[in-house]
Amino acid sequence: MKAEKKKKKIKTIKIDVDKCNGCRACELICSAFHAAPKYSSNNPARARIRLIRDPLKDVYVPVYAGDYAPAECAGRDKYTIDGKEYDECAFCRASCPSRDEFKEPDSGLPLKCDTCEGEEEPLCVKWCLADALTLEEREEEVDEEQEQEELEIGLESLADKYGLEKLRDALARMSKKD
Amino acid sequence: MAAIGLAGENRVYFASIEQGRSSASRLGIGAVMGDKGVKAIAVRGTGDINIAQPTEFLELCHEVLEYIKFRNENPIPGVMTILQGLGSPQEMQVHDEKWHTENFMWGNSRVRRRDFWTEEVKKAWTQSMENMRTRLISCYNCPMKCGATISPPGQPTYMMKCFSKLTYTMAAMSDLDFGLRIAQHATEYGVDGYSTPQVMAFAIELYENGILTDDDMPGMPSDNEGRFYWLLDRIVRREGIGDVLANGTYWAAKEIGNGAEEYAHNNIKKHEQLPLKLSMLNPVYFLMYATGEKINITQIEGQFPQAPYPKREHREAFVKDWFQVPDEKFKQYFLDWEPRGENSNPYYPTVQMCCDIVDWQEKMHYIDDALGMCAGLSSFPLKPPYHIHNYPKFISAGAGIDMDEAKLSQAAKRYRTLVRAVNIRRGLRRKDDKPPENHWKKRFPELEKELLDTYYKFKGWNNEGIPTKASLHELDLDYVSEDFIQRGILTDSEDAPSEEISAGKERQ
Repeated sequence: MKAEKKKKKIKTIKIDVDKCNGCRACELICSAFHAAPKYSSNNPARARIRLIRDPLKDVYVPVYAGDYAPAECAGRDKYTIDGKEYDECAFCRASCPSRDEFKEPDSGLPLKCDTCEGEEEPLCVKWCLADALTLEEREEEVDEEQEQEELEIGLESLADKYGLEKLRDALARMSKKD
Repeated sequence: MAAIGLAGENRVYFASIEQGRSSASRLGIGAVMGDKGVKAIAVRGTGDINIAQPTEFLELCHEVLEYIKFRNENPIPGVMTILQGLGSPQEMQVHDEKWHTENFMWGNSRVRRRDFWTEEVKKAWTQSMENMRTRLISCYNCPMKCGATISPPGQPTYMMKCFSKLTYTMAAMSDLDFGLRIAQHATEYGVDGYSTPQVMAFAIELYENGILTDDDMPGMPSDNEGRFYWLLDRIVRREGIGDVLANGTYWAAKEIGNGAEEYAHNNIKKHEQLPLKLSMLNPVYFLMYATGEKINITQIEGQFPQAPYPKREHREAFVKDWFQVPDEKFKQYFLDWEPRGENSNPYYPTVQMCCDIVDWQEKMHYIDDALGMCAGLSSFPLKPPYHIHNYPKFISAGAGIDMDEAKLSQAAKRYRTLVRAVNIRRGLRRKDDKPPENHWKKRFPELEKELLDTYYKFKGWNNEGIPTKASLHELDLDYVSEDFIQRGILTDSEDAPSEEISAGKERQ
């Protein structure tokens, strides 16, 4: 069965690495917005945007948390752009086993940018006075598709980590307790 | 990561602790780290920072952010470039250096070059900065861009901010290309950007006047810039004459003798100062230079304009949105301050007004230091986003401490008095509270005495500058006065003993 076409607002955050000053206000406000209760704490380690940086090599790349990846990818290529060498991971949004970024520090569960749902614009964009992060909105026709919920992503990563069997047992035990 | 370089390791008296784009430079604390055998301190923060009242706190953050944007778009007219905006200041992005190069002194704080800033110089210096500056950078979570990564061709990249940009250039009577290049070495060695260039210029002056000779400087190159590189290398390694110079101009002059003391002319409390020599005594600045215990004018000045505006209408425009004042009277002080006539320096602002103005400016610096806030968004610039009215709210909402302006002022006073007390115990007295003799051409000994007398009283200090028993009691610092009495620094009747207690005796 073919999915129906649906008009959808696509939000794109444009990242201009040349304009980034490395202040990491994006990380701070992101972690504060996603704290519970909202803004009650901040900690860049919980942010869904991270600044990949190497100041003396003039590398500043703000990267958003994207999809969860259960395994490391095969390639670890190096890119040279305008004479500066970037690790391929510098541009990768995945929450993957090869690095610490985009994992909730307490649980190890993957984090993913939700463009600050409910806010006028993502707060990282709002707090970026250097205009390294700007928002673009456009309408596109897309195939309707159920988006994977945060819960599902979390469960999938737990299943990858511990195996489906153990997860099912744990869930069953928890259901009994309730 | 905070680290010392060769200078700290070798206990150079003006060694710094370097940290990325910033450094803790003044008063030689890098030597303290070196003396304790600590090369570097690395910290990785992983925990949460919790906020007591998130909604209120964020509201305050929004207000400050909006005001920063407003100030960035509305520079203050009538003051020199770096004082128009916010920041520590933003020396890395400013190209217009007319004010610094024509008003500050060159060499060993000797030569003023009034027509220095020509179109040609401006073009060459702008090019030097743009060729070497790879990026303007911020500190953590700060919207300003006070720092920069500097990549001099053929040398390693380093980070810089603020006035080290010009201190080497001006001490060596050279250009910005040289200044940015030697600063790379200086940053790697870890030395203070104010003292170091002056120590080197002092050595060159002694050499030119025959007090230091070729015997003292074996192998020193003959070209001017080469000499500065050579001296810097000797100082941080404490080799030969470098071992003497590494103690700063005050102690080096004593050791060298033969009239060298005349050349160590720009010190306060044994520390080299910004190279400024002016004409008419400014009473506010007199008090700040004399009594500031961070021993650097930029660490006490800030809230009040440095000079009167020429016309009343300009002053009226300035005070219109000056909501940072702790009291409305400060607006009147400024409105009535004229460049000439009865209400001008040195007798206006009046002695009492000077006390108020200095106390406010100093208080803001002490609050910043206590909170770990950057002076660049608070105590240093005119009309800053953080001030005495919103700081208590930030502290209350952020930390959950019940704070108001009176309590914060009292806390700052307590802290400031403690710093005084520590230095008093080390021997600091009224005789040390003075600017360099030649800082102003026109001096007024009687007025200066009255300024100090009145300011000491205002601060709760006795005539020797020692906090009194009563004022220490008011600050809940009885243990300090007990210590002072035990050491003979204070007597039970509060006055200092008539004979001066020597610092050496106190240390025993």
